[in-house]
Amino acid sequence: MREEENLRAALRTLEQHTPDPDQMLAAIRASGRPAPPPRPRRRWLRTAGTPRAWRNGWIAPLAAAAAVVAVVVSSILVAKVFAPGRAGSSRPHRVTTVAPPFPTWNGLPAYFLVTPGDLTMTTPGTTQFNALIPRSLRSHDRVGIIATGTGKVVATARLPGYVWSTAASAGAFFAAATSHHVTTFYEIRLAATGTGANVTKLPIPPVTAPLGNIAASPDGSKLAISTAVPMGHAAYANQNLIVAATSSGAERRWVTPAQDHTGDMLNMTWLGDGKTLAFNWVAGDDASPATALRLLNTAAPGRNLLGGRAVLRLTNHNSFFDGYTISPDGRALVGIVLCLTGGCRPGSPGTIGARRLTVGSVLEFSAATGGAIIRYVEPELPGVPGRLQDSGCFAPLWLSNSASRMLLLCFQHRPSTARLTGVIEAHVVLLAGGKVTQLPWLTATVNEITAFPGITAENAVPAFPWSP
Amino acid sequence: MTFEEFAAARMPGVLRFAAVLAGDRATAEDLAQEVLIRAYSRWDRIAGLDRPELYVRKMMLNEFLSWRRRSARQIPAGDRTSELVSTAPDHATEYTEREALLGELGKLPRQQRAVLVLRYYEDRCDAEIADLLGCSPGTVRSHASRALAALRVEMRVEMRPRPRASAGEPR
Repeated sequence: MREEENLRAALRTLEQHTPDPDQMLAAIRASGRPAPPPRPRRRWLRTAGTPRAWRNGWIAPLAAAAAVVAVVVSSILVAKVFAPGRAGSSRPHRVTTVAPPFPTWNGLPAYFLVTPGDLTMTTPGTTQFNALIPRSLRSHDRVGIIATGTGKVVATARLPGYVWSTAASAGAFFAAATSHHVTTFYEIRLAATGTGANVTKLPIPPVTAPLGNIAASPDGSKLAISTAVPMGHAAYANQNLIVAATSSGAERRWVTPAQDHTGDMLNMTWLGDGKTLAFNWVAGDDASPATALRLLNTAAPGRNLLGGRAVLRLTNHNSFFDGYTISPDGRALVGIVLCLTGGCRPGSPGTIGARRLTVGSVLEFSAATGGAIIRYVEPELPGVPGRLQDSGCFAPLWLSNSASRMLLLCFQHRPSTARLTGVIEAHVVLLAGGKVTQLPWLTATVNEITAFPGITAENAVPAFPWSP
Repeated sequence: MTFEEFAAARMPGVLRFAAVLAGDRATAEDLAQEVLIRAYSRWDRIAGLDRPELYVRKMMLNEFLSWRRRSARQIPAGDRTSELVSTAPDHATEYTEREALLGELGKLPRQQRAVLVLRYYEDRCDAEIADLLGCSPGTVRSHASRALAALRVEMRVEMRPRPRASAGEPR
């Protein structure tokens, strides 16, 4: 007992090393992060603050050397397994042909693109808590094309920068890679042989503004790029939209109409006509146009980003959801309930529109009527053994054209017991016609940023579906 | 709860936790800054949780356990005794013993150190620790047992010979 008391006393003496709260708060504010109102996050705002130790002279060279060794070793290992595509020369090329549409597999796109994710998978189907630790900025990223039917990597491509955002047309994938604050854009096609990737640097002028998302038109001829003009430490920014031709790089730009019209532009998806861009506008302040699903006709004249139509007002719903995914026909938004009147813990009860549901439920909003359809209530998810207590799902990875079918990435927290180690199990499930089908072969591959044809799956980012 | 409210009410406790976990001020500052900046940027989600403070502590724990990039040159906190000794040079054996204990604590593997901090500083039960670390209670007990054994052995060798305390397993 004396040893334990000594230990307690010794540990308490370490409190003398407690950092100064005021200085810490100042450092956090100075990190350039925005003030955090209860709004959806933006990827470009996640730029990591430089840790203090990195300013020590000897750490950076060591880390750089280690990184080089790691990259070389991983490159050699991967090269033995796959036939990777390369970003090619630094000179951009014209994309002169339209990629033929990907085949389908049981109604799903046969292939999708993944980037290195945050999720630390230990064994297929499981992940650890440190899944929440964001990846650090890398000088190169390797993306993979996955076969939906098998979960196997059929091709990889190495891109010269940190991949912020990915997108997919009907037959090709696209990626935005940032290096030294300059973002360039790439098209990634699956080789005709079905293995290996062909990577083309697109002739789109590089972007130096903070990048939001990208979205590819169904035929891959246009890339929509959202960028932001940060306003000091404010959480929201003026938004710019660039629509660039992938063949020539010719651009057209839209901007928010007024300085005080700050906000966020999430979940861009092109509609099937190849002209209309749907996006979730999140108002930054009272002066901004209201949060809504908006449609912008990019073929119409004008430069006003908000000049299109607001087809679904999302006011009063915004803070309750973990983002949305827009159906390719632009008529539905599907989101996961994050908080209800009963609280924010998974399974907490509440009502929406007089319907009882729980945190974690999947809701679909109709742009035509504004009404909500409960697609499934979290604890009743069939096909997954046990209740999804302390668990949850992210906004859909993929939606069919009218949102009648959706692919979800869900997590189930199994607390540790006396005999079993606690784990968070990942489940990829297909929800169709009221039925849930598990696709267990995808659990080890689907992760942070996943681009399914037809969808910019911006919302598939690990959030906080479980409570500690 | 806004981040400002969290900072006002909970930040000191969280920073103390970082200090005890890290063992020295510089590492504690790095650890706290790394985690709190990340928490700040995601506060909209964290604020919705029932116990944001606990979540931040878990983030801190994860960060501490995954921090390898500077471990090669890291000086265990307890090795740097000169500063403390110079400020209180005339304390009796107990003080010296504590310094030695801190020195040995700094040499423990991170997982073992984290278990001791959670058990003896935070006074958490093994089940809670297991949940926080993502392992089983048995593993927690194993870590604690090994850590305590290592401390006892090192203390016996380096300090003064004294009779072995009861050999019972820690709780």
